[in-house]
Amino acid sequence: MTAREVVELIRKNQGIPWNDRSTRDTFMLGNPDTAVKGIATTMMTTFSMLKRANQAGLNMVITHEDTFWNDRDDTSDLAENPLYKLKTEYALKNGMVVWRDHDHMHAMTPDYTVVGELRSVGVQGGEHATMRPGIWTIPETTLGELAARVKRSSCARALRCVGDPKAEVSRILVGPGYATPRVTPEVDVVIGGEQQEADGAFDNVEYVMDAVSLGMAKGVIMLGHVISEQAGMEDFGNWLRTFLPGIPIRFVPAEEPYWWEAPYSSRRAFMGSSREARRAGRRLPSAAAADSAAAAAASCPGSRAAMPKSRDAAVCASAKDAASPSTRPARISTTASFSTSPTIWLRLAPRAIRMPISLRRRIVL
Amino acid sequence: MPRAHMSRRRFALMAGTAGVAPRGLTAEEPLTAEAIVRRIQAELGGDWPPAGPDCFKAGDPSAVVKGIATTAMATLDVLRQAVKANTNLILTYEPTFYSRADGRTPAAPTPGRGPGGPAADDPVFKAKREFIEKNGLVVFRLRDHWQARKENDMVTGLAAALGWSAHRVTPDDALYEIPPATAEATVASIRARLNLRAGLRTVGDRHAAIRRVLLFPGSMTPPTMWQRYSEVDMIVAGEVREWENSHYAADLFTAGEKRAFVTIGRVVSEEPGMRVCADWLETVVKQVPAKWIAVGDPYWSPAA
Repeated sequence: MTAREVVELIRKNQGIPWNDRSTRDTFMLGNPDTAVKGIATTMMTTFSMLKRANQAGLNMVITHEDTFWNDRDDTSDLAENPLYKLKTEYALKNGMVVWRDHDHMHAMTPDYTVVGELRSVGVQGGEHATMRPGIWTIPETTLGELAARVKRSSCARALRCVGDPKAEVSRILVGPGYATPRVTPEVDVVIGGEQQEADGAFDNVEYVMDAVSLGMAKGVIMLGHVISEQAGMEDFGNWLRTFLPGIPIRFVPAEEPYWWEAPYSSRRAFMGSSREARRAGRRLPSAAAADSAAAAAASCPGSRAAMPKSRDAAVCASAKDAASPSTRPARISTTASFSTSPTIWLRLAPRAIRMPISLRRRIVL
Repeated sequence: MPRAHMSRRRFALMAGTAGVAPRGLTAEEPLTAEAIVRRIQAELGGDWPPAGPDCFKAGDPSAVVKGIATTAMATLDVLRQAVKANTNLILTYEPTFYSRADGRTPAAPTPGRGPGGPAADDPVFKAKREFIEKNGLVVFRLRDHWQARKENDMVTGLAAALGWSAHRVTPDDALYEIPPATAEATVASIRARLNLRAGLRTVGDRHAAIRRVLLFPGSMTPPTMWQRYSEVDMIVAGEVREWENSHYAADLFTAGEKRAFVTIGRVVSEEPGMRVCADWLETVVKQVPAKWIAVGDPYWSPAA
């Protein structure tokens, strides 16, 4: 089967009128008439991801986000760019084809990016979620506790929060990627990927800062764009299998681009000795090391930094799993859902018990 | 907002009266917010279209000014500090009312999404408006004209805050040659200097030797990055879009390039420039004090 025929089947099964004017959902690289040996689904065609897909023998990449570092995948300014040449030549030399499914994925029911995001932040019952999944009510917790749980279950290294960590929250609204929803009176916490910080269509950061000044319980948790839409590409791959039974299909994660870094926080209460924390911070392998781990980055979104000896890695997913991805990747969320009580949640997450939950435990500001 | 005021100002500029001391800046007349803004406009020059971002956002422009506060973003906390500091004219670089529309069109938004800022009856929006009214504050946005100033204080201010003023390569560019250090050490120093928390994020090679740095306060587009990343060891920008610029930096890292790309946060990157603005105002409007009020890094991260 050719890549073009794969795309035809996707169009047919996606069940929505196809918008041929989409600048995103087209072939980005390679010859559409290439015979497909295997399909890699991914959140974004990073160079690292492209290499890992190739090393795993997957010559068709189906990507949610861009290949050429701009939303429209416009390459008109890039003809002389050395990185553009390197990346395209790598793909073409290895007979790879890249096709993007962005707009139509978000228009689908379910929107797998949202399904995956809800799961990776620990919310149960989002299997049929659409682009606008509505407000979830979870047992009341603090913003700080919620953020800590979300950070553990999503494995987002560069997670960012705004709001009072002590605020009591229960109504949460989730949105994928740049479609981080607006914080409104009806919502306590918005969880999204990323968002323009100010001067945008709406400015959540300033809104939450002012709500905090007024003593209102509001917060924003930003996972990062890659992390927020990563998990759903695993679901998308599972969906592809339902009508492409003969083709190997694997989820090959894009790497979370940001450093793992802890120097500004006192990790001591959480991570053992500060000496250990300092060493863990330096142990991030280089890109070359991550690449050589084949389809690395684990089944945990964004954990390119395999740190097998650190407790982060123990919580997030083992590098061993990552090196040989199964055709049916493991689910990302192993923590209990928010619909269970906090007590049960603590019991199900052994590491949480080891953490001091006394007064020493606090959100680092 | 009062477009009539804008038109009068523009008329005054066009009529050639901009160069003379505007009304209100002589000892006999009260010093109103409007008079100070006219003075600033005359000093900075350029066209001030009523539809542009730089205009009055809240309060009465005819209010008499006790003191001026400059800030990167007029949060409620900043406004409270401004009141405490006995200032009542606030010059803010970013919006006050939670969107690009900045309170001008408080139309009911679609729930959860959509442009136009918060609904008119939104409790946060209302409380902020009431605070401004009750305390007699006047808020003016000063963005386009301040960043267009040829001295480019948004850049030099950030460089000064980083302790790099002496390392500028050429007077007309944002390039700095700093004492060599690893990316990791340079990032640690940036974090400490600007007192940053989770707002600082880095992509690239932590062991790269950093010497040549491009400063880019505010929001950086992909073409700027494509053009300039390869000529420096590090870019320090305010914010970017992760699937665009951060993706590019990650790919260059995979390609083996020894560079690092740092985003410190949009507002944080704009703070030092507005600090310079307060110093500049003291030379332009000598009758009242001007004071910079910090916003700080809005982001934190749980230690889990």
